[in-house]
Amino acid sequence: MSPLPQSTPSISRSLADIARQIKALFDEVDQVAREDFSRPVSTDVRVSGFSLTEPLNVLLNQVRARLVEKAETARLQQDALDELSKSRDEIENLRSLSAAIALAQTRDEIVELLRSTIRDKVIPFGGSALYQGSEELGFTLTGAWDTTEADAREIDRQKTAGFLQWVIRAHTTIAMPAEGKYPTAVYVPMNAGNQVIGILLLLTPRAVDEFTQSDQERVQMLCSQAAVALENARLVDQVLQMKQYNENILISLTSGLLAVDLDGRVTTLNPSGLSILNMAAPDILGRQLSEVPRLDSFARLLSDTISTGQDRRNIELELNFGEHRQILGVSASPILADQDRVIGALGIFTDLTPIKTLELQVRRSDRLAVVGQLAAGAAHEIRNPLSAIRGNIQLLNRKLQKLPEAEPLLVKTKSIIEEVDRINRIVAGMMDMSKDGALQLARVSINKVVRDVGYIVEGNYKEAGVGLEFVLDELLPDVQVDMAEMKQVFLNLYQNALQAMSTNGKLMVTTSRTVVGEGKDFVQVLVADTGAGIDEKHVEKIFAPFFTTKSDGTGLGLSIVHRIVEEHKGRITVESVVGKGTTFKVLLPAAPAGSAPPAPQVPASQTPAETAGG
Amino acid sequence: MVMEKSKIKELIAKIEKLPTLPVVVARINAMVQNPKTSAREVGAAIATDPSLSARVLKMVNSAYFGFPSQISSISHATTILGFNAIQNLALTATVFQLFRDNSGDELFDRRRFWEHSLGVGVLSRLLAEKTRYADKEEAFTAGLIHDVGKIVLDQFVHEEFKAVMGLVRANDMLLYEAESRLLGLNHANVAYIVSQKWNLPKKLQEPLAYHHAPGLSKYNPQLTGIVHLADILCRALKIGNGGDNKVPVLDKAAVADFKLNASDIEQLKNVSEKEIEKAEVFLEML
Ligand SMILES: Nc1ncnc2c1ncn2[C@@H]1O[C@H](COP(=O)(O)OP(=O)(O)OP(=O)(O)O)[C@@H](O)[C@H]1O
Ligand SMILES: [Fe+2]
Ligand SMILES: [Fe+2]
Ligand SMILES: [Mg+2]
Repeated sequence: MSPLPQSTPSISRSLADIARQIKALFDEVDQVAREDFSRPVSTDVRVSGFSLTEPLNVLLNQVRARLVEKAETARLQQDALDELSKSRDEIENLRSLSAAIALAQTRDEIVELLRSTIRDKVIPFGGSALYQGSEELGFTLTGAWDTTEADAREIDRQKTAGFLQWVIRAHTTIAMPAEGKYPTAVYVPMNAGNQVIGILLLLTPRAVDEFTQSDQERVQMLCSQAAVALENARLVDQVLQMKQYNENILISLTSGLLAVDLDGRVTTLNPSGLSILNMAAPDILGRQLSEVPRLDSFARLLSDTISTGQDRRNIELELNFGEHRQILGVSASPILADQDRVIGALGIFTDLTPIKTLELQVRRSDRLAVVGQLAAGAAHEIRNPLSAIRGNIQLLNRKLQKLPEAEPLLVKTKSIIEEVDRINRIVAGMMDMSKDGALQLARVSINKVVRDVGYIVEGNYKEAGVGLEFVLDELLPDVQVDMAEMKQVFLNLYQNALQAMSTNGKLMVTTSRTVVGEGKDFVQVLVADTGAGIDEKHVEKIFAPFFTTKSDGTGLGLSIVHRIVEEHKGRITVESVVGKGTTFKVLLPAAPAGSAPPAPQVPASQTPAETAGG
Repeated sequence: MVMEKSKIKELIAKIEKLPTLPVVVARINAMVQNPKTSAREVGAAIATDPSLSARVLKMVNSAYFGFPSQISSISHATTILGFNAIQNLALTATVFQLFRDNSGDELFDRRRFWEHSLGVGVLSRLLAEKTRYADKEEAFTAGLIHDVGKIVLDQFVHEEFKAVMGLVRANDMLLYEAESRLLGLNHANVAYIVSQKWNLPKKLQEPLAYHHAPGLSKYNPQLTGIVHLADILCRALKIGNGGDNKVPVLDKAAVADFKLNASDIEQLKNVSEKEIEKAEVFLEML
């Protein structure tokens, strides 16, 4: 480096000139670098009439280099500003698209819009996949689109690499090198507020390092918008599901549920409730409960619940349906909003009527069973003194026969003997019926059975002023029956008939032979009364246990009849005309002719001692 | 005590001798402002300074980011950590490089000072997350270099700064109050001069300049408030040492919008230790 020539004034002038120019340059450069990026910078420094020496050259080149650098930075800055404003427009554009995403309702719509917007406006991509979940519960693959087998493998591989977890934690979009057809896998977190609710994975042909900030920002913005929409859709879904769930509960509830608001207006009554109360929704929904006929006790219970704010459990309410009554079991509680504000009341109820009736019937049939046992014991006790009476009367009778003047008395003693025999038959019948266990089949004529049972009810019929007539086919084939059971059948039929008839009625019992189907021999018994008849809608129920229209009935009679007839491979049917009368038809298979010896005929006059214990 | 204007001017002139940032940092700053810049371009720009590339890559692969696989290029790091994060890393790496002289003296312990800076960086990042500030890495950088003014004072007006430290020791007072009293300007003011000279990203300027007077912030009050609070928390938690042993008064108005409660602070305290450990790679650059 040679020293600067300093001797001549012109040199010093030139140096001053150069120094000025350099200073101006520095100023300009600083100016540019500091704020005014758009100004063109002159990089041309001229020194007139002077050959620059080495150090000055160095200085000038340094200045030039710095200048170029700064100008370069300034140009970058300017580009940045230009792009920034362009990108602001683009983002504005995207924003309107993302508004459409936010309006989409279902998950599929949202994801579809998101994917098509990204593809059209941001980056091309092939296969894509969506993971959904939460940071606490983890993420699972919930959808994949346009994925070839290779794409699917790559998506799987990416998942195991652990980038998903990183993105979930960092909440930022990343691009990772991929294997296979696409060089890059882009992970975009779907941020809803501060939470990641999903990750969209895109396989794209764009190389990892070709990504720009604007790409990242825009996919990120779209995905976050979609995330908010998804989250909203999920919440709406949840609410709907909750509502549906609640409605399902109401529908499947076998109990009735009735809710009223503070004014006592019915806001809810579930299907079971409607059917228990035997009402249609329009008759009651929205109406004042207290104005609904026969539900006033229910209304009172609920208004009490509202005013006291207290639960009431297992209350029995009696509703009056004209002559019909219904008993409800109700538990009532206030409906609370915000934990403590009463906004209504609800009652959950079941129909206790069948249970109550059943209870009553069970109680009554228990009582009947006890009576039956007592009667069997009593019958036994009665027969001993009875045979003593009969013996003595017979003795008396023989003596009287020898006294001609006692002739009129003989009529009396004969009558006494007949009556005693009748008592004997009744008692024997009762003892038969108290037997139980397996069928004890015996070959008998059905005529004898229907007649014998007649003796038992005769007295009651006479008392009621109702006639009892038998038309018996004397040539009937025998039947194989359990006497005790078969007597029950007719006893029940006779009793029902009597209960259905008023004075001057008449029961007609007819036996005959009939052939059913392919020449099968049957014995038919018609039990026809002239009573009230059976209401058409009851006909099919009368054989069901516990069906009764009588205030003191058990409803067991006909069900027992039915069971016994079936046990004997017989059939029972009914025909009835309301106001005219009812006819029960009992068919029993005839015993094969001569296949078994006839059951020992029990003569009506048989002494009690002979059958006792039989 | 009123300082002579000329003295302050003299001081500023000395401070302005501070070296400029390497042009690559300025270029990256400009590039990152352009949304159309690609990751490759950023990578290429940083690659012009191989030692900077190496330092940035080291940080990128550190436990601080905890990325599950090795990141082998700046361009890829850019698509993973984001353009702003890379810009911030380049800036941090450069600043650290400028002040790597760790000798210090018995009055101003540079090691403890950088620990304080790291603590404020980490807490700023956590607070950014809590208060949903847009860019967590930017918050980290702001916290990390918030007290850069102290280093500049220590390096360029060493004698004067020694006097300041003496005053702090003697009176157990706040460093920035001692600075203002003796020098007529404090390290936050110096940081402002630095940020102008370095043409730091605008968002970083106010957090540096106003971290002791957050009420003055107009352009980026959220980050300014974050750094203000992080600084105070760090002192309260005794993480490192910024040169004094006092805790400044919190400007409640500046942090009111954060809606933090006692349990948030407790939680910050609990996670900060582990997070600071992860960030220690930054101190390794010194
Ligand atoms: N001969 C009949 N005429 C009219 N209704 C009848 C007749 N027989 C049965 N019913 C109807 O069928 C119902 C059922 O009869 P069932 O013998 O099973 O029970 P019940 O007679 O009511 O009770 P219980 O036998 O305990 O006295 C009766 O309540 C009655 O309504
Ligand atoms: Fe400070
Ligand atoms: Fe500090
Ligand atoms: Mg009956």
